[in-house]
Amino acid sequence: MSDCHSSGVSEVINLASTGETKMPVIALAGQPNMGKSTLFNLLTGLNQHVGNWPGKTVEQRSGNFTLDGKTYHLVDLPGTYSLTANSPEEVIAREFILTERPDVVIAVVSAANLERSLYLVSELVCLPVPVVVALNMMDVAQQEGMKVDAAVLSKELNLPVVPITATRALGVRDLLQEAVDVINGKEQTLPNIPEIRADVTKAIETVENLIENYVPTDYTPGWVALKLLEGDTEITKSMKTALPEEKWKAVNTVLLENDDAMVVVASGRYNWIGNIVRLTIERPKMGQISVTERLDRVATHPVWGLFVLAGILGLVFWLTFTIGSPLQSWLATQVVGRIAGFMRTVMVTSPAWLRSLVVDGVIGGVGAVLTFLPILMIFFASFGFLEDIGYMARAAYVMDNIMHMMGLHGKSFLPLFLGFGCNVPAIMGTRVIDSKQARILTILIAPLIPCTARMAVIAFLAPAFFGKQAFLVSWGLILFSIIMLVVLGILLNKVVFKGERSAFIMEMPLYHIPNLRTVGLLVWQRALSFLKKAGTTILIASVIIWGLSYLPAGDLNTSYLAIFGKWLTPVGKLMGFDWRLTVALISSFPAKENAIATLGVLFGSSANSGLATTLASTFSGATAISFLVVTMLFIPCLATVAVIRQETGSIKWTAFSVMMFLVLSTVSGIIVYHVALLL
Amino acid sequence: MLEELLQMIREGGSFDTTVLAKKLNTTPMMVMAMMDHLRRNGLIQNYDPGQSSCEHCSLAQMCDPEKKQHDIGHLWLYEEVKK
Repeated sequence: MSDCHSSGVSEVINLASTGETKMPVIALAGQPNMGKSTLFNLLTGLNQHVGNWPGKTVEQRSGNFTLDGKTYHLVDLPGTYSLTANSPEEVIAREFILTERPDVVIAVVSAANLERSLYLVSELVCLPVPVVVALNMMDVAQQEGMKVDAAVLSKELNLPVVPITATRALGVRDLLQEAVDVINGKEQTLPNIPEIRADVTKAIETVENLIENYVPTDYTPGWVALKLLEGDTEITKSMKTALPEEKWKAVNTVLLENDDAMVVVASGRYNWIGNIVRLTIERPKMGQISVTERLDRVATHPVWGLFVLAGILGLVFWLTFTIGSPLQSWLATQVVGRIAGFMRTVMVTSPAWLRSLVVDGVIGGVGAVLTFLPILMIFFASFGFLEDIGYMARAAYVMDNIMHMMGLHGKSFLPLFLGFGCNVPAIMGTRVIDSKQARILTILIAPLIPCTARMAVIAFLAPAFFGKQAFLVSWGLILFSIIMLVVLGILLNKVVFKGERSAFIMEMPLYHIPNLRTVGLLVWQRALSFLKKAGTTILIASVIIWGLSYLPAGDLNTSYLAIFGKWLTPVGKLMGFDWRLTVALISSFPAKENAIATLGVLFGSSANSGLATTLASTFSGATAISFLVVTMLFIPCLATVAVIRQETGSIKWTAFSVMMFLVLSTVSGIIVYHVALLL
Repeated sequence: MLEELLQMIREGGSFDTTVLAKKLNTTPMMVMAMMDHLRRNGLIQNYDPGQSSCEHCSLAQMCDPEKKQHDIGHLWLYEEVKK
């Protein structure tokens, strides 16, 4: 194994005494958010100059400070993650170090995140400048229960390491003294450097030999060869110009033969960091982490995780129906029913159409929707609780896991995760897919994810039709919808993605005790949003539905709505629907909740016992299950269709989506109805 | 270590940073740092399901995308590049 700067070490030592004849220059280097600027401001105070780096729009900050009567020039290099030319900041930082050769570089690292911040150090140790490490944020590390041993870190890096807390000026004097000792040659730096895989090391040496007479004076051939193999765009461009054609061809051949060198070199650095961190940091096993690990052994397990998810979904529906349904029933009979009765009495002298509008249209429609507010609130609270304890990320992870095992493209995860809230962001979430064809097909299947509005309609109708079995039915409906999604997704994977591999990597949040205020606020916000919708969209839809059900003669059976509904009866009958259920289904197109409002308008006037009871006594179990299945798979709401149009940019695909769901829901409804009749 | 991580990701599937850290015998923070490195070098993408996809949505309040993003933590995406 060779090092990354074979000739660099001796140069480092020789440079140590160059600062004697002029003001010594200290450069502050570090990744963003490591406290570098805090340290710079602390040292220079008002004695600083702020401008731009020559030819760049990146801010340049420099200033002077005095220590023991001697003045030093301090340059705050831009925050950079590495020294590869990924950004102007990275180019500036390394050009300054290589061309200006500061007398010492203070590398500011975070004691609380050494894994990330040592990467820059792994590159700095390959440059011909002495390095002193400022181990900042010791207080943060301590708060997080970490023990960071600066002496061990110093030994492993073979560099001076000084623990500091820049925000409280702790350890800063010691840091400066160490830097000054290095400048004065009292302390020499001979850093340990990362090892790189043997074949890539050999390639570096080959390139080094090819380019050694053509490297700019400030650079070392070893470092340039390393950067070429890392695919550094700036160095590649510069060397392509500097080298004769045949030399560049030879270099390029080596580069092409080692196209994985970028990862291999970085891997060597991360191995180096990993070993150092293992020896330097002691992390006490925190209770919360242990709990999370223990719970995740089951919750994110590919098999048990699914059972947990199914169990939790079932529990949510059980809770919703056990507590919410009696409340809903009470609201329907004791509040909405009484208000309707009261208004009917009060308006006895009013024109019949006005009385019908208020009682059947507004109270029947909006009132029916409002009665399922308790169901929704319990539903929102349950999901808010699951989100707040950190379970929802696990649910998404487990779903993606099983979908991947079934061969579904991993990208389907994104719409899946977003779609449980609402299909609109789910479809917008498909923007991450580059292939137009793949994106359109993902858009087509995304509405199969049961959104909150659809689940709320199910939560209302299922107990009305199925009583105590409602939670099992709801659970089965969600499962059915997801199975449809997976089946279509598998087809999508086979036909469009053709087995192309993809992966998702998630950072799971820790489980934590839920904050009741957060959950309460969430429920409040969503309930308020729902009430606003009831007062606007649903109210307008109810009035329109009422108008169509009242006109032209004030008789429901001869109304325009009945004429329209009866025209669709042949199709509806195949699914076990009468014209009223067909109309209710169609009215769910603008917003899913309209189905309830429509049923409220159409059945409301006779529903003194509540809409749910009326529905249960009017329709058979086969019709009910068919209606629920069709509702789950029916054309997505208007907002979703509008977004499909926006995202596909095509009326043709939008129409195809509408037709696909219309056919899918109708066919499923017919099958389910006829199978249910046989049972 | 980065090579092993990339190898695992290239096989496809869904991964949790904690599980990856265990497999690599390192810390989740190290995995996060390496994921960020791969993202900066264009080998994986960072996925932000937050504001961008929800800013025009009238139902965003119901959906609470900000909280959803916070709940899920970081999310990265790897795609096989066809040569």
